[in-house]
Amino acid sequence: MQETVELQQPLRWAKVGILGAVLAVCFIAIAMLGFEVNRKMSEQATASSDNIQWTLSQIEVEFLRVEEAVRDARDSKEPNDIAEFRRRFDILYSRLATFQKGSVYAGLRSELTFATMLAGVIHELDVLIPLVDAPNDVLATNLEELVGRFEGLEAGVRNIALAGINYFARVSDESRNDIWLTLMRVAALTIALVMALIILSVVLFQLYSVSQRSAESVRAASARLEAMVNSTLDAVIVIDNKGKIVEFNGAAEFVFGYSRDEVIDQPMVDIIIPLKYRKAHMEGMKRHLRDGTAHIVGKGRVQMEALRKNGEVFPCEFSIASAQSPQGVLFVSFLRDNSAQVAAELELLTARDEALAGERARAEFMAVMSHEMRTPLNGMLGTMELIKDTPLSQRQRDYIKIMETSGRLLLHHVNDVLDIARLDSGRGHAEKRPFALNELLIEVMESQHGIATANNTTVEVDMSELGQVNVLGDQQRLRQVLLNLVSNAIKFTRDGLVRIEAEQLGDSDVIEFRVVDSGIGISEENLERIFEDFVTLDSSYSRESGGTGLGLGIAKRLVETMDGSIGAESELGDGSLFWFRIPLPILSRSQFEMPVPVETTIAPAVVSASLDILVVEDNQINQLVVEEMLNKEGHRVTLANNGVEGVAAAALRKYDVILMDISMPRMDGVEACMAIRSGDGRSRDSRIIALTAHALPADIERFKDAGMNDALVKPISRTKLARVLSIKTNSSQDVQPIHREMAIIAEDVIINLFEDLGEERALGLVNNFIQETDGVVDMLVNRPSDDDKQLIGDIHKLAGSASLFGTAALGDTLRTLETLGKSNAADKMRDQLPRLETIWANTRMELTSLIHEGSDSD
Amino acid sequence: MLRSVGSDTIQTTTIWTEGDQQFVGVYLKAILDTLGVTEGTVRASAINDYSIEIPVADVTADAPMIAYENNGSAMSIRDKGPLWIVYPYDSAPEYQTEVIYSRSIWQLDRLEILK
Repeated sequence: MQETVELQQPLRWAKVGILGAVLAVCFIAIAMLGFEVNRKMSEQATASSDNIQWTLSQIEVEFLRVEEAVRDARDSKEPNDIAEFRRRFDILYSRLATFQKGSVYAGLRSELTFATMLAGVIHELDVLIPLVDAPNDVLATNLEELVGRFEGLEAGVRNIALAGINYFARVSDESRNDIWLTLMRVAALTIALVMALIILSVVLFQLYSVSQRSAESVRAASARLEAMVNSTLDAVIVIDNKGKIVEFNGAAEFVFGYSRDEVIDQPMVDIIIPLKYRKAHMEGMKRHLRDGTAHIVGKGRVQMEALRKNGEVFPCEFSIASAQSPQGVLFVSFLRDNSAQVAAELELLTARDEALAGERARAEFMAVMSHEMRTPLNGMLGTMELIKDTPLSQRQRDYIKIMETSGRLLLHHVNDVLDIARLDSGRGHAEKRPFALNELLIEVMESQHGIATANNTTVEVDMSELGQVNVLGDQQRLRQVLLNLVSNAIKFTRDGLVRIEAEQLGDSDVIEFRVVDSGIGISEENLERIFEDFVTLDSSYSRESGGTGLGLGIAKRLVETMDGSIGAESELGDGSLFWFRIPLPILSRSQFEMPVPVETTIAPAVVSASLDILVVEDNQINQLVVEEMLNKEGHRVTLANNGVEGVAAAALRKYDVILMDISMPRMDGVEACMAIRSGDGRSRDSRIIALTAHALPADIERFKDAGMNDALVKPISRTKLARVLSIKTNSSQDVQPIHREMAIIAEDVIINLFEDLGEERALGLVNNFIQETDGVVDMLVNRPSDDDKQLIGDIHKLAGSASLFGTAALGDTLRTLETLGKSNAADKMRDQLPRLETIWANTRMELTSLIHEGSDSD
Repeated sequence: MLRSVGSDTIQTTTIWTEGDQQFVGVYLKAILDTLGVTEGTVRASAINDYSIEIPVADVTADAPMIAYENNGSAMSIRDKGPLWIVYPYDSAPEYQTEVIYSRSIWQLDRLEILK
């Protein structure tokens, strides 16, 4: 409504303008016509001013008088009468001459008849002049003739008068007509004027009512606006272009603590802008008023701080709009007190950070604990195997069995937890390498065969849908998922069947795997949570099998890292179906071959001839375990405590086999192996077998590169040991020895750390170590303690950390120093302290590049 | 007698003549002053007894004039003589009105002062 009014207003005013112009034109025209009429009227007056008509009639009168005088003179011949005649003649002549010359008679003379007649008569009189002017006696003789002449002129004189009168009649007709026309025009204009006035008043009336209406709606709108401003929860402050407050609503009073009267007409900047923003505010305002550039005005919501009356600065959110008013620019700002919100956000953020930190700490603790638990566990398990081979009572044998079972279960749990921690740290992406899917499935089936048989359950593979295919994917992860699902299925199945199925979904790259069992099934409510961590369903089976409840969680994580999905369907008492789908592009298909359940044949331990074996192992427990196992098999064992000793031992004697631990102080297994291969010791061509906790392909590759023939993955069992020793190859002779310097860092320790703890945590630990060592080395070199005991303590402490992080060279040096100190050679110890600086610098450099390599390769 | 009172000149056109006219004569005011007339009416009569009246109050120092010469010569009766009351018509619009024209009497031969 208001808009239409605004649109129509100019139109209406234009109309008024046009009407005004019309009116003005009418007025001017009427005035001009009035003037014209006036002129004509006065013309009328001047036309008769000299009484021309009277003068005209006077011609005849004068003529008659001349005629009378000439007759009198003829009759009496008296000089008086003759003189009278002359005078009358002169008067007549003068009058006629006036007609011929006077400008006032110009119009009259334009009347042809009149002019002709007049000229004729004057001509006649001119002829008579000599007679009239003649002496009296001459004139007396001609009087008779003159009478005749004048009688002859009567008609001419009459005609002059008549012609004149005719002319004037016509002229006055014309002029009347003219005046009538003018008056008609005046009347027409007057009517037009009145009409225009009427229209004007109608338009004005309309305008009036429209403006009345719009004034009404403006009043209503401003009342609404006022109500809004007063009731809004936002503080509304209006300032003028000088920065003075002109409006301050109720919410503003509440927010700022000022009453409206206190602040009206005060400069806003002094009232609510905190000191530190005042300058910027003034400049911004100046700039805006000068050239209209706006950083805030009209730019929506802005976060700022504002000042309360009590001096408190609080966070707020506000927007400013500028508006034109009759008094100049006004700035209207809407401001919201954000302090509560900001406080809440901060609190939330803190709570979240704390929760995250707690979660991190928990995960880290779990990972570190598991990592730390694995080594002693391996030791315990190995030792138990050894105890089994000593003479034991049946009861002891039973106890040992229980211990062993529990120990293995515990190891399994620890590994699960480590797996979870590793997967959660997001370490590594799924590999993409070609492998034969069928072989993998059969391998999984075979590996579970034993346990399944114990439960009187058959495991089978069904790949009839897919056929034999080579696919591109992460074999390792897929194997673990399948193992977890299959072992889980076997756990809950007695006297039944577990079937592994694989099927390509349509034409896609996605392959669906299903592990179907005929076991006890899962109830619906439990189905939803089986993939959560540490979920073990309360059943006799699970208690019996004793899982951590992490198997399915790990499977789920692994599937997700392969961009797949996993799920399960089951009914209580009716078996379960676990499925997962992962993208696994098929590279090629081989001939179809129906796989059949295969009986797993356990290779009997090969009894080989007695061998000379060098065991290089720094860990006393492991030394003991391996030595005992080998002795049992009838081998001869020599022990070396580290790589250096190992290399020395290998040089002295030709061993059949060298079992080489990988992570060792002073010189690790890989270094030692290379040293043996590249040296000319007697064992340079012996078989070297790595003892390692890592079975990653990359590790194995590295060991082979170093010249190792095989690898044994810990924990070591007699079976494994026997199998490895029974394989004889001469490949070692083909191995090209590689020269390498003594290791500054035992890389595998670091790798192990990263493997077990995940990149993030391991990086954190290594970085901590670097920082600490920076400080300690600096102290030992530049300001060592004067107290020997104290100094030895410092060195010992650092040596501990050094071996933990595989910084072999540093650790070695520190231990040497420690030994010197403890063997009363403190001076020598102190002399050698500066060496630490170079060693640490090198170590530090290598360590740094190593951890960067490690994180880059992910 | 008139010439003894004064001799002034008016240069003007008239509606009764052709071209610029030079009149020489005596201002009526001078005559009235000579006679000591300060109020009343002057009646002027022509040879043919046509007469007009001029109130003394209307007489100013430079109009009207009792002219006895027109264009350097005395006026005959045929030339509206012997005397002609003329006004300086060209000098002001108020000398171009009906009343002034009617007072411009020619062939004047008598002046009377009426109380």
